[in-house]
This record gives sequence, C-alpha cells and structure tokens, in this order.
Amino acid sequence: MKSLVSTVDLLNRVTGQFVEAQLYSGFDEKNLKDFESQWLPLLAKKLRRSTPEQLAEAQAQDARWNWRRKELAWGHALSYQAFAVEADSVTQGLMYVSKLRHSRLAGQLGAPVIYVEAIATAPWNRPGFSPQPKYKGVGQVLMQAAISLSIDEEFKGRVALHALPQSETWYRTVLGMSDLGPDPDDHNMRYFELTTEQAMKLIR
Amino acid sequence: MADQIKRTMTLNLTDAEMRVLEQLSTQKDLSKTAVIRQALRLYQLMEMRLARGEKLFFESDETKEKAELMLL
Repeated sequence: MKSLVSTVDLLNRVTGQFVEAQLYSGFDEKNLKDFESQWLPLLAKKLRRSTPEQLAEAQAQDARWNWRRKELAWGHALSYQAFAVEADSVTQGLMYVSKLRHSRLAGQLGAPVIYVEAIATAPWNRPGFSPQPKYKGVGQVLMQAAISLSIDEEFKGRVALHALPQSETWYRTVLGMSDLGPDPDDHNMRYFELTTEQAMKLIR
Repeated sequence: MADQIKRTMTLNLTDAEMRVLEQLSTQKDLSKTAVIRQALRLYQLMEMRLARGEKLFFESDETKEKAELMLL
C-alpha cells in the first residue's frame, strides 16, 4: 500500500530552483504507468541504438529492468519494500529494498542490512542520458530512505547493494560507501556497504 | 518512515523457544520483536517461493554440496 513518507526538496537543474517532491513508501498503479509510458520508451530507444559502452556512458544500464515485474514478484512479500519519488505529479525515482540480507563487512559481519535490490532515477534526470538533466537529488533521497528504514528496522543505518558499473563512482565517492570489490556470485558487480557511521553522515 | 499501525499480541513460548529467541536477539543485536518480524518475513518468502515450485537448498561453501531443505 502506498503511503506518504515525507516531502523533500529536489534541485531543478534547468531553473536552479528547489521544488517540493514527495517520497512514498510503496508503489501504486500511477508509478508503474509513469514508468511504462514515460521512462520505458526513452530507455528502450537508448537500448536499441547503443553499444554496451554507450549504455554505460548514457547511465542506462538499467534499460532492461521492468518495475512492474519487480512489483509483481515482490509487492506482496513482507521482506521487500518499495519507494517512489514524485515531483510535478510524475514519478522521478523508484527503489526496491529487501530486509533479509546480512553484512559482509568486517566489523559488522552477519548483522542485518537493508539491501537495495534496484534503484533508479527517471532517464531525464540523468546527466549522461539527457543533454539538460532535470532534477538532482533523487538518488540521494532514495538512499536516505533506505537508511531511515534501516534505522526503523533496528539495523542501525546499515545498507548494502551491488552497483551497476555506471553508478560505482557515485556510491564510492559521493555516498562514501565501503567498496568490497567485484562479487563473482552476482555478475561480478561491485558490492558496497554503508556502515552505521557512514550512514549517519548522509542523514544529518 | 511511513506510519504503519502496529498491533500488540501476547506470545507464549517454551523456555527453550525463549532461549533461542534471546540468543538470536543478542547475536543479531535486535529486539525480540525485530527477530520475530525477520522470522515472519523469511517464512513468508519461503512459502511464496515454494508455492511457485521452487526448492530451498543449503550449499556448503567448501564442497559446493547442496542439501535440499524439506518443508512440509
């Protein structure tokens, strides 16, 4: 069930003004329709016309993700939770997290973590995708939601994920996550974790 | 996080069950309620996947041997 978590500010890069956006827990049909009617045509077009390298440059390595399928698979499970960000009455970001994974990081090994299964900002917000990207801050808002959920669940802010290559630098340098290197059990994607200390810096 | 209405219930456990709950609570640094929540999530996920015709296995890290977990 979709419910409002909070209102947040996103920077409109075109106007330089901050706009009010809404962070929701759960998806509704509108979010999935926005994905299918507004995100997917742009991503599918990019996918058809790009080499794997060009897809990475365009920050479109998630072009094959289908958020409706994710909702069908995970929407009824207590162990998964969805989040959506809306601004201008349009879905600007989507995220699915799960609650049954454990930390692989020394110092918090075996402790429960919120695991980010999938996270994406709308294609028009991506600097590599659009010549004039619109909103900045969607990914940060979603990652902060993952941290807040981790605190609510008594996981003390710990968050983990496997990164698409296009996003590795952002997780490492902008969010300051610990990089545990490529994971041979998950397509050699690099595995990242946020410790409690790293998480607290992001929600201050 | 979004407010979700929580309901209170009394849970009757044997000493052995309570010891395991306390042990898991200490081991995972979670309250007993949080441990029960995790257990419920795991149980539901297993049931959902088994209902889809999937099987649950444990794999040995060393030998890569797989053992199916039989659930009734």
